Amino acid sequence: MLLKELTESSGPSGFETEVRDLIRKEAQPYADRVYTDALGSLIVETGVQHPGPKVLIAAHMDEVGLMIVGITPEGLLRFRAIGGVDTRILVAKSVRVGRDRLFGVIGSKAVHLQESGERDIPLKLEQLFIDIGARSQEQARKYIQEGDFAVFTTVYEEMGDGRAKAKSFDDRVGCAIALDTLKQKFSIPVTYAFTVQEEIGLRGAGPVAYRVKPDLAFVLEGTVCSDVVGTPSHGEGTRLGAGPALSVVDRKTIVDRRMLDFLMAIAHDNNIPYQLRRVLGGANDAGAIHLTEMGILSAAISVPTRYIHAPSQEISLDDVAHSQQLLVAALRRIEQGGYPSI
Amino acid sequence: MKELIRGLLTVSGGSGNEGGVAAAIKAQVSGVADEVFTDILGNLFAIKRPKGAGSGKTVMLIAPMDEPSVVITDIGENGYLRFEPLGRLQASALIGARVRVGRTGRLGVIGVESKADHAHLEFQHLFIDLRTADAASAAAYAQVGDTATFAYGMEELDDHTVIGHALGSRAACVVQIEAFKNANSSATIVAVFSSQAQVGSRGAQVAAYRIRPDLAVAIDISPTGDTPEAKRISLTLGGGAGIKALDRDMVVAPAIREQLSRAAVKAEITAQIEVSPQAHSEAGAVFLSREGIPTGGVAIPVRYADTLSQMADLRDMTACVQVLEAFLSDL
Repeated sequence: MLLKELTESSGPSGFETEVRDLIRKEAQPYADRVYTDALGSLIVETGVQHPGPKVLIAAHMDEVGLMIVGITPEGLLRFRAIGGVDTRILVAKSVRVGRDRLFGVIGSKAVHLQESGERDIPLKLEQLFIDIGARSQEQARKYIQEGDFAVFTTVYEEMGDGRAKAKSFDDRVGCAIALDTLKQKFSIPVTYAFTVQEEIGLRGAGPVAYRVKPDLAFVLEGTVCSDVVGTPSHGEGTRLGAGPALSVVDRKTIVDRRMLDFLMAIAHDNNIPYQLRRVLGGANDAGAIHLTEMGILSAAISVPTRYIHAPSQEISLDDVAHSQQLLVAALRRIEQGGYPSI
Repeated sequence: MKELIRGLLTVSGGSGNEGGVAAAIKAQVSGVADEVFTDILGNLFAIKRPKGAGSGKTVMLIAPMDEPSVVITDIGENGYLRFEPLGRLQASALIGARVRVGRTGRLGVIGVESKADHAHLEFQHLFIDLRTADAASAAAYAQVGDTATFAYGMEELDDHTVIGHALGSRAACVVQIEAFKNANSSATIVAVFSSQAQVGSRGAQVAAYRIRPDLAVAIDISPTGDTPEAKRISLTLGGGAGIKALDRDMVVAPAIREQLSRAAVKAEITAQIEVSPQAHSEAGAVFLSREGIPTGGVAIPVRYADTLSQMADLRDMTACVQVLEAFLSDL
């Protein structure tokens, strides 16, 4: 099961090696050419013998995580966030840390020792540490050094009505959809890029787009979904199970209307449910791709992800299947020459 | 010039939806341009080649087409629209504002939830009332992703002062249109009317990459420092054409600034130096393109930029056109 392997492997921004190795192994048999660029993004070329238009499919490999910045005399690890992590949700979570993937627990001062005023305020980053069971700084230092990363330990499990929970659905779900898609053959050149460092500023995608120079780009993402208690309709962003979320606008991209109309028409023609992403906040690799060189027509297809960036994220497996169906249907339409042009 | 401003202010041009503005500008420049085209992001390019041999150089002028707007993010069951800003708008300044949905032309009014705390007002507390009964009827006038712009148009305060909701972009476009029409240069002139400037010079970035000019001049408005308790900004309204020295995104090379200042002297017009540490312009995105592009700027002083009532002086705008003409004729 690809989603299980992908979400359970470790890869915060800048440390995507483990995820990249997994994806490379999976993609190799179906690719004309597989290589890594200078920043670490994995580029998988298919259909190179075909004439254009050339399509880029991009999904980012990195997840949000933690970075070790110091070790206390007691052997506890001080850390900072890599990417957007809500520090209020960290206490008592288990993590794996360092090159040996040691188990650790995020600890803090016990609740009964907190002053009454202190209990009402969420714990700050400075009050949290990772406990790896070391007796001393010296002992901890044998296994850990500053600059090592930590990730959550959540196991992928399916649950409820066709849903699943894991860490890092953002964006391993995009990686999984891309990997499943590249096992199909298309009579156009399709380049799949598994990018690095998206969570800390869309850094990997720009150089990839510059190198690949596609005519069209589709970004696959896990995106915010807050369809839970206490949220009005206009705060939801997306709804779980309502189909792939098509981006209209976010902090870094105003999606080209022709691309949006193209995807909506394909969803309609193929009876694939979809929804529009109804929030400005957030961004994805399209923000970097669409401004590359003279501009690249780009769109984003996202899987709604509840509790995104938290240790336990939830998705609908129907949304995953429908996202892939939509992407494949779009590629088939492009094969037939029905792609948006200016 | 006044009627050109008035005309361009009747067109809605939210970021990413500049098509109407581009069409209006194209009608103005087509007659004098050798070539006119648009790109993926919606930038409009007008090219004027030199008569005869020419210098072989290319100079790019750039002015933004988009105005501050809001983008519809949700249509409630009751038909009220929710939105977020594209550009530098304050939520508190929008209560009661009249807006027009760009694509359909439908008018609406911005309302506020009564429970909202006005000291900490956010866009999530505001809504647009299109006076429709429910989501289905609202959908005929607005969809998620549509932009709405402010519906005020142009007013004349005296014989040389104009007020408008989108002068920030259209005043710059008008100056560029006039300068492009009148220009007589040995260089190839590429006038870029850019898209998505309000959300961070996105059109400018890809346009500069495409044109790869030898020299570029960004034409933009810039706030003035001549109102009560204003920030320390050098420009004054009515003080003449602004020659950019520095803004938030770039410092202009002294040689280019002097080249523009000399053009002002030659044209015998009043000029002032623009030092606006808070103001954005597209010059910053252009000069960082490719290997780096020598870039200067001409600034139109505007009071109350980023509000619904921006104020400009036609005499300043005319001066900006004359500086550009003199500059282009000397290349």
